[in-house]
Amino acid sequence: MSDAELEGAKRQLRREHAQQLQSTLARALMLGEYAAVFRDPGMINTLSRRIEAVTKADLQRAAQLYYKDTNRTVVVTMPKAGSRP
Amino acid sequence: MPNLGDADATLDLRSATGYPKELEQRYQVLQELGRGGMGIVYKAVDRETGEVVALKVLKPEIAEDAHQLERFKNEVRLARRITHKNVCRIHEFGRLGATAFISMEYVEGRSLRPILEKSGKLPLEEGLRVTRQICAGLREAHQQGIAHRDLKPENLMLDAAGQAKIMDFGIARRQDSTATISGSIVGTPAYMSPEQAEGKPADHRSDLYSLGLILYEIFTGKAPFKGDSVAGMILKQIRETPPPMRQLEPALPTHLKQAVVRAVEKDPAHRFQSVAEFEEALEGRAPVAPAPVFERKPRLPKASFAAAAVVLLAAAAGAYLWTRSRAEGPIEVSFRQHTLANRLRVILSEDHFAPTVSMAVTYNVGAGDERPGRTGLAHLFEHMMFEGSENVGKGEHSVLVENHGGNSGNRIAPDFSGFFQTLAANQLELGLFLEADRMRSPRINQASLDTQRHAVIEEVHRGRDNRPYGRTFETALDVAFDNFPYKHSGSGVEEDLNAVAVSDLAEFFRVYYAPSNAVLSLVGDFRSEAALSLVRKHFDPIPRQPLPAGPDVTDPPQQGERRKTIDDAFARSPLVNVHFKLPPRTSPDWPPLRVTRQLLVGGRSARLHQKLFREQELVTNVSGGVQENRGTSLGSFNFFPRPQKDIAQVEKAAYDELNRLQREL
Repeated sequence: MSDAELEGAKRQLRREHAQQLQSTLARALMLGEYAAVFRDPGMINTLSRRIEAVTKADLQRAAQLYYKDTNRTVVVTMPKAGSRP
Repeated sequence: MPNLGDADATLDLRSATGYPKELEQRYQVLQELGRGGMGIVYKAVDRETGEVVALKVLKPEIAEDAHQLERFKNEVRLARRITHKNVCRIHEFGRLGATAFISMEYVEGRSLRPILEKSGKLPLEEGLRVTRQICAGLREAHQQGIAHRDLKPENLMLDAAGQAKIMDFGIARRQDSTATISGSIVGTPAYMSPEQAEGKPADHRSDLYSLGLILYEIFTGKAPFKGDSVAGMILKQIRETPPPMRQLEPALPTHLKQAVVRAVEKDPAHRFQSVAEFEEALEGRAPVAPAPVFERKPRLPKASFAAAAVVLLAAAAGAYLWTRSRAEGPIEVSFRQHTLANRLRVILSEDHFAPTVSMAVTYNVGAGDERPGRTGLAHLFEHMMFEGSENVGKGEHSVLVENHGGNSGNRIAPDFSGFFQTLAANQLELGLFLEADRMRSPRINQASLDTQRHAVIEEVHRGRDNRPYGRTFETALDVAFDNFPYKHSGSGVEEDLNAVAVSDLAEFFRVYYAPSNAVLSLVGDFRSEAALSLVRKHFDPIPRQPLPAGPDVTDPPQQGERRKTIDDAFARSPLVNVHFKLPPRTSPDWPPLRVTRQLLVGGRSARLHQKLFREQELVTNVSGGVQENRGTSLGSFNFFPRPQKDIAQVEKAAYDELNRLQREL
């Protein structure tokens, strides 16, 4: 993975976060959720700081831990034959 | 409830003719009818019913923003209450794949705009006929407590039979200031009321002002205000009076001219107070009294200019925040926390940029807290909270907020549920009063339960049983999770809902909707000390309850791939969803996982899109989603295989990309 690809992804996430925070309502909802569920409204700031710190090795490790075959659930939805024109 | 539609990285894959391909599952799209601030409108045939409808497809930035979308749905819900031959009927809010849309009555005809452009003014009799019909539609809407807030000739259609129809009720635009900040000037400046132009709350009398300007144009053929810039137009709405109609049309009946003058008074209190009053005067049935002259303040151009500048500045706020974030890394949100004696946690975050305040009450209860045989209680309670409380009537909450120019809504997730509103800053106490009243004394009785039980079951049918892929996500939860909290979706099982008794609801309320299990968050234009004392005044009297024991939300590690294929009578093409169990949201693995999701499905340059859509042409659409939980979470990748493509091949290509991420550094 190139440094540019990783930086690009982080930049997109940063921009997304900034856009979300523009709305006072979005901020009120985030603070509410983080405080009610995690008892930590500060997550509104810490999550984006932690994303800035992510390295390629972190990505590899997370992918190995979670995107493995044995942790996968596949659901296939098929159109029901002949039920609709 | 997150589902497939909450894809966080939907790619903009359009069919050759420009409309979202997913619409084809249910509609045959005939032609594009127009474009507006919210999205594009198409004429289409519903394949199910054969009915011709107009489909307003929401812009992706609206469709993908769960909060905006929720508020939008609330507006559609309100607008659907209006049934009148002079109001374009809203059918439903729908979703196909990642495409969100509103279907509404298709009106064959022309809007007043081209008619006025072509023929200038309308003949007096014809103008009066059209006016009567617009008034009739508007009167009905106002009686339902719904203001339009964007009346303009473009929104008034004359159908083939000459019948007038008001379009886009409640969905024309967002009138709250959060929308202002995120983009354009709200409304159409040429028909905007002075209170809207100044960014103040606008109620039904704002519609009377806009209608007054439209009638001016209908009867004189001239727009009352001309301006070549948005700012210039906004200032005119605030400061200037239209040129007297008698100069343009001396022959018009005096009472009609007087009625229009009265309708376009700058101060809402000086206008007619209802459509009926306006009509009486227009028809000459009631004399137009001069506007009451109570404490009429001199209009200082400077002050007005400042007010208009606020609106303009607010539009620039997005750019401001964005610039700042590029320069200095992530934005920090500052806030203060307090805990009241009853253990209600209060979070205050001052932001004086625009004169509004947003508030959310979030309860630490969601579908994850439900027990087997008792599903749907949290969902049902979302509805019950609109049934009124000791001092607030049924449905009155949203109407009061709307009438003060605000927006309200609700949300529910596996771990939490909540209610929210955005109001003018000087209406902070209204919002606090409304939320405190229903936290203290919601109306829980047999009648309210029966009404909302019915509404919830209907919603479940619509959402699950009567749309394409309606059961897909629910199936994934059931297959992927072992423990009950996240294994079931939040909508509720019909037989469980039917079994709910008033006592069950009352107990659920007592345990979970207490101040001790809730958070009140306020963001906006207030002083924290003053806001806190208002919060204390309204919330202190509500008693605390023992904290409920939370369910076990951690699933055991999965030992092997799980798989299920389902049939769907509504789906028109296969859909492959690949899910992975993820750690709790608070895990240190969460930030790297968030980045992997961005790399894989975060836009056109993302890996899964590049590989499966662009290079191998295996799929028509790739997206990703995630259910972020307190306990075990679930990340999803969604693939629509192209016709004739092998599903196994699609899966293999996807897994190759996921494996690559595990190998490379």
